[in-house]
Amino acid sequence: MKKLFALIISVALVFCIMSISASADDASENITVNDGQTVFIFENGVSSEMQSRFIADYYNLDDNGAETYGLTCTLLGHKLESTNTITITHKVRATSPRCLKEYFTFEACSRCDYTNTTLIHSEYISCC
Amino acid sequence: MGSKRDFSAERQSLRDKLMAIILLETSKDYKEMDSDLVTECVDFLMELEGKEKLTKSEIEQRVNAIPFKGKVTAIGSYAKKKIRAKRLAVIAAVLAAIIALFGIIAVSSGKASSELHRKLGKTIIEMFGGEVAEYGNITLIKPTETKTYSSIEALMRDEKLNFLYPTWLPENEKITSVSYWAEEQSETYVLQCNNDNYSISVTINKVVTDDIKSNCLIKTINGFTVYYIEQDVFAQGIFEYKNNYYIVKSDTEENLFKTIECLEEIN
Repeated sequence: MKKLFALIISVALVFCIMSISASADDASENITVNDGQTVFIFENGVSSEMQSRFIADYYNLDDNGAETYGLTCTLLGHKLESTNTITITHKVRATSPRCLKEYFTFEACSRCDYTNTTLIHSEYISCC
Repeated sequence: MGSKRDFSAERQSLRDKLMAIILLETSKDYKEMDSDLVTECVDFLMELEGKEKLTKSEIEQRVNAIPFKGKVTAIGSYAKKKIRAKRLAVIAAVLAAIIALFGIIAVSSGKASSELHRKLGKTIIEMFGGEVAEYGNITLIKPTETKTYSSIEALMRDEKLNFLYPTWLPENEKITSVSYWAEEQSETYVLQCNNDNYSISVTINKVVTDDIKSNCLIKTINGFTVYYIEQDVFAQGIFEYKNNYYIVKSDTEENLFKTIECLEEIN
């Protein structure tokens, strides 16, 4: 009985160590997408689908078009994935600081078209 | 003579029967054992043997004289402990099932189980005509965790953040969240209000560049040299303090300057 207990504890510890190692990600390695005038900086690990959805949402900020909700989302609510994104739009102002840097949080449902973009902060920076 | 022998035999037979009853009863499970019957049989046996019934104190003395190692517990208390342990096990199993159920619902709905607990609590309170009081709190958002604090001061003390924070904001706004943003060459904390017209970013280990110094208007506020601009959309002030780079955003110049004037340090 004691041996079985010790075995279970050991397996649990190994799983814990594996989990901790897997979550130790380097957060400073961001993903940058350059779209001409605007640069999108995503957190490390953000899927390309999330990136595309954010960019589409960014360019359609005033669009209140219809979104399709699945039946599952209607019954159980959305299955949301969220990420933080920075955008830098170059040469917005005539004089320095010329470029507009904006911080967003972005949520998207993995089951339907629902998205939600929230502007956290914006500032003019000098990078050009 | 024969009658005396018969009487002794009869007594012996009676004793045997009583012993058999006692042994039979005591071999049963304590829940099924009839302790009153055993007591009666023992008392009768003792009367047959010509022995007087022992008083309670005599029994206690006899028990104390026995060299026990360990505690003598009555059958009753042992039974109670067993029943209590069973009840606790049932309660624990039910709680585990409820927690597991919450987890399953949380995973399928894409929400955190703590959020579900809070919503359930609010729903229950509101069902009884109560109101849930929303206390002011601030959320700290980092890549690996999210924490809630009762005030900006508590957040900064607990997280050992050593930068200025606002003690006044326009329209009685309050800081609602502090988020951490790590870029390739910098780390920034963004203090956010409900209204996105007002926010502050603090970049660690960064100074104001000559480009900003030469292209912005300058004003001294609260001992800081502030480089500011005013656009159609918002007003922005930039300054550095103790190697931290501050950008304060507000809706007008007047509110911008007052916000900067009321920035304070944690002691």
